[in-house]
Amino acid sequence: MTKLVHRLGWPGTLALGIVVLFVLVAILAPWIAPYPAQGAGAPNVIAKLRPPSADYWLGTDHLGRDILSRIIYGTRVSLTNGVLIVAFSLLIGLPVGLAAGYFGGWVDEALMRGTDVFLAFPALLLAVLMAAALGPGFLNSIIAVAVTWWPWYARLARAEVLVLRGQPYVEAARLAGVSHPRIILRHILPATGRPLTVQAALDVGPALLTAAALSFLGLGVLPPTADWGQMVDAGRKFFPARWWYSAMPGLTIFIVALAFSVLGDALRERKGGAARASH
Amino acid sequence: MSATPMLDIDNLVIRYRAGLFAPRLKPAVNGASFRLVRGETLGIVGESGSGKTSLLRAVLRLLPVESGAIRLDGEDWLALKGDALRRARQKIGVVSQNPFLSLSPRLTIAEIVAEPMLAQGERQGPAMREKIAGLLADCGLPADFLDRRARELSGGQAQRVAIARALSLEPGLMILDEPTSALDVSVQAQILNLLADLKESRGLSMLFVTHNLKVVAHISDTLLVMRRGDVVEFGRTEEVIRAPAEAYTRELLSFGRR
Repeated sequence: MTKLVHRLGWPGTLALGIVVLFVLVAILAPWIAPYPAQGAGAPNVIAKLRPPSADYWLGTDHLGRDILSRIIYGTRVSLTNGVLIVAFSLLIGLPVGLAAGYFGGWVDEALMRGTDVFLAFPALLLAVLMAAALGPGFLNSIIAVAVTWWPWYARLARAEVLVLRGQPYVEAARLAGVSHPRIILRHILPATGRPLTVQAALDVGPALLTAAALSFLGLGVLPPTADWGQMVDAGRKFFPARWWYSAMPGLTIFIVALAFSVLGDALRERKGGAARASH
Repeated sequence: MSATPMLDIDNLVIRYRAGLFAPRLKPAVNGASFRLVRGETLGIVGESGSGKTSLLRAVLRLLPVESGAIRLDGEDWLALKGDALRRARQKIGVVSQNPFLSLSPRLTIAEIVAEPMLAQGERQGPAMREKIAGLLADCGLPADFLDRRARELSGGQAQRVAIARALSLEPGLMILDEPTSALDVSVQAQILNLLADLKESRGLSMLFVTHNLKVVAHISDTLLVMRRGDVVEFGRTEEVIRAPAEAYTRELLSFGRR
């Protein structure tokens, strides 16, 4: 524990704790939600729009559902969203970046100009356009965000590969007659993998935020599935009189996004130090 | 001694490409011709920028050649492409300057030495491990190095691993690019002795590039002196050292003596 604090600093450790907490909440949702059925979407019309109380800690929504339970169930959607967006982006970006960096020349030009096309659009706007074109839904919103996300991984992977490709040990493999796919798998990928996974883990936060923005605009998951962004949107109609409806999920988004961002900064600093020490 | 030389280079010109509209650069290697007799060592000497590294990289097919010919073991080496080139590379073993850069930090010694053999389609297994242990022993390393990593070794030990890797496909030609420059003086001598032994026991031909004439005089049979892309001297080592024809060689020699 003290070692962790030493490496990440207090804010980083706290942020890590919050992230871990939310992951646990997502996994354990049915067991820790006070009203699991309402969390999953069952209406409870006798208790519409109640303010926070002992029965309903964070109040209830316009269908009388416990907001705490809804937020807890929404954690599942949001974290899955974040992880899947990053995973899809890596799946596209990593091979593109590897190929561009390793083969260079016209392969590099073609792939990177293609990537630039995606980078030329403002990310959120492109995501909204994509989501609107694909229609709302869980998978569609993930694809929409991943489309704007992968070029960053392609660039990152390419930059890493460019450094590696010139390493004498990679050249030695080539001179020993090792084939290109084998060199990429054995020498390039393991070395690129680590910085990229760190980056990807940190990007879960921003990705989740973008997904929440999409569902706020009605382009994310469909009701009755609980989703933070969608809850903020639904609560707008009752704001400010029933402020808790929008504020509670909004606050949750704020806390999670902040935690990921602080954790990211802490890891980046630590990572730089480690990289200097080992090479 | 067989009639075909191990390496026969004829009027080789290497020129780096400048931009599309930039004036053509002076060639990095300007019409080099020499041959390496089987079982001998050819030392290539020159100050930095003399073109010796370019020449070496061209022989390794890492650099395109503008004109001229390279024949390896009687074969047109520049005509090979793609998979044929990849397979033919096993005729050449390469040892480069810094062993810590030329050995992957992620792999064990066994994996590093196995890599060329695996690339040429040999099967992984106890037999290969035995062979690797044998190679390490030939290079003066105990078998318990197999599962260690390069960063745990000293410079001399790591360079021995690099030499073992270069020997793993039983090449006829060894190309050594300043193999001792990154090492301590005492270790340098050990590595040079090892190379001399290996050359003797395996009948290797060697191309030995260095800027240190003292080192090269110790190990090579013939000597090639380069300056600014030109071959200024080529002959038997004793003759070149006894009676250097060029002022430049004399200069290099006097540096070596100091």
